[in-house]
Amino acid sequence: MKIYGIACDKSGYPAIVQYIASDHQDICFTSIVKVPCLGVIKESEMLEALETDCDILLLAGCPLDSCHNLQGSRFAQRRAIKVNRLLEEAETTKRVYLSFGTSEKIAELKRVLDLARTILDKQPTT
Amino acid sequence: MIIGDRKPIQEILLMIGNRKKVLVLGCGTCVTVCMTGGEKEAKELASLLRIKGYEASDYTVERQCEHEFIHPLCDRIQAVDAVISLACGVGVQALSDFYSDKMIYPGLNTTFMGMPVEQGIWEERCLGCGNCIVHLFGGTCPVTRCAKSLLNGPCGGSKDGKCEVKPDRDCAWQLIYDHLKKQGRLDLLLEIQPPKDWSTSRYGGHRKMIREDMLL
Amino acid sequence: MSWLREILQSGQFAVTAEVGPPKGTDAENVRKKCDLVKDTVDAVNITDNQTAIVRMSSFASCIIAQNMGVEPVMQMVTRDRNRIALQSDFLGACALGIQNVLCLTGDHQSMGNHPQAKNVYDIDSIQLLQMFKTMRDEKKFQNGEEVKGEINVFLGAGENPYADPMEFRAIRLAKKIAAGAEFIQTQAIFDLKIFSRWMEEVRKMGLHRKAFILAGVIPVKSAKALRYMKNEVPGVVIPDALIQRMEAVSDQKAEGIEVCVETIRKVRQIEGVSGVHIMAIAWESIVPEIVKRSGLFPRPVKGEITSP
Repeated sequence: MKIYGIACDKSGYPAIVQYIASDHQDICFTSIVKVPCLGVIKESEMLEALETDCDILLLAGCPLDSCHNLQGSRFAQRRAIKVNRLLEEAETTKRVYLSFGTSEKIAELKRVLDLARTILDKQPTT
Repeated sequence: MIIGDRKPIQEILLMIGNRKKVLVLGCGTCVTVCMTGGEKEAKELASLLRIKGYEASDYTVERQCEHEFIHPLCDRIQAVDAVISLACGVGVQALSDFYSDKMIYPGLNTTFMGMPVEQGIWEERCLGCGNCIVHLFGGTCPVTRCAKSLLNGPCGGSKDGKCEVKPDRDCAWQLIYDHLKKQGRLDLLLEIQPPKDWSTSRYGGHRKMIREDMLL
Repeated sequence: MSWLREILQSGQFAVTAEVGPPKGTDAENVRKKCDLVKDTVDAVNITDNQTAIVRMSSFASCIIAQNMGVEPVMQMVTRDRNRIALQSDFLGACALGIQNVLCLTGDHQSMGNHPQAKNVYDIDSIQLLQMFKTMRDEKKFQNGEEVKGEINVFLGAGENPYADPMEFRAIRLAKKIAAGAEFIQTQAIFDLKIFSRWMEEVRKMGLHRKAFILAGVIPVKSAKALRYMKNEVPGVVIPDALIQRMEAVSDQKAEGIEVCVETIRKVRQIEGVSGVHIMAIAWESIVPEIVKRSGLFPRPVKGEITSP
């Protein structure tokens, strides 16, 4: 599974770094972009990321209730939901996934990526 | 302003078929404000089309309904196989008339003239009857906002201030009554309004306005 | 002269009923329904694509009714026809001897079985009344041109004492009467308190002397039907006590008839009510029993009335 990652430097990025370090070989990050906060990512930027050779866009950031910039994760969530609706309408298998956890808890990251892989495996190959 | 609703993507894909090079044209006026056809939406649609394998680009102009803004698009339009206009029906037709050898596809369903009543919700306010008499009705237009366009309303289906035809919408005649009561002008409702002259509306034919003082 | 007008002007308590034409071409369907009620009512309303469901036209059905000796009240709505068609049909109705016309706006097409149709609503029911009155009394079309020939029509309208804004309802009735309404048939009455209050307002304005008011009633077959009306039909107010009363009995049909008869007896006591309009749609067969139990049978026969 090819993942384009965008992560906030407070929580998401450290989580991804730790995740990769703990030996998960069957995933491939085509890019990992560090941003100050997920709240700055616009819908068009999410879609541009998905235009690249990847299966999913992963947005990793702070938990919803303790976002370092208060609403950043919430904004990202709203926009990701909107983008996913457009992707579904366009009948493509690409999707945006959200992982909100601190650098101590990479379990959330693993759960999200496992879910993404399961869903992608179920898609009929075109 | 003019409100439009974006067309489903599958409908757009059916329209353009296998015309590979596509230009998505946004409009910077009405449809930007109702968030369905502006620069943001044009970028999003172009991205989706590229994900679907099209060679799509996007560009947004101030307004697509005026020649001065669509005239400079010549090179961009000639370079593609299809144009998806996110403007209202006026803009789509302006482009079609100007670039008459090109297929201009509407990316929006133009719906009504209205306003945002709260964030994310727009309501129709005017249908352009050509003879405005809202002052006789406390400032609420019965032609547009009453489902039956009654000039001597309300009908028997007004209940708790809501319209029986669209229960999530206010009964225009309840609003008219309330406003005139506040203004102390309920006497206006005692008069029988005569049948409307519809000849100034779209029913009288395709309309045109000429300003002699502005002709060159 | 219209028989309905004659009865009302003579001071007799009038009885009218309603018949819905079929969703097809079977004239016999209209005849059968009219036959069920003809000896117990003075006139029969024929609905005009009611609730925007396509049925045989009111005009054609009125002729069928007339040909079997029933006095029709032709209902006309403004939803489907513009002023040109409405005036034209009015002339045709007069030419064929129809003498009662009820002017309505009509339910919006989104409620019917052709919701994609374009509606008309060129004019509303009050403008329609005014238009027909002018044709009859001033011999002028809506555009001012002369109308030729005899026009002798008794004009009526509907009114809903329960719709909002309630404080405006009596004034709207005044407008309808000023526009030309000579008789009024109300929406079905279940809540007598509100109806009495409305009649009080009506009497205060002297409207009961300017037009004949016929109280509408609907015989209901079950508590479930009452609940349906309460929730789904706009403009109908049903007191909870009535629903509880129906639910408490085993033979709800019989109770429904009893409630209807009671309502008729009570509205007869209210000053200003000149008649009753029984809307037993799809239950026309029950009308004779209701009329008889209400003490309104036999009905006056033509030639036996002397106007006061």
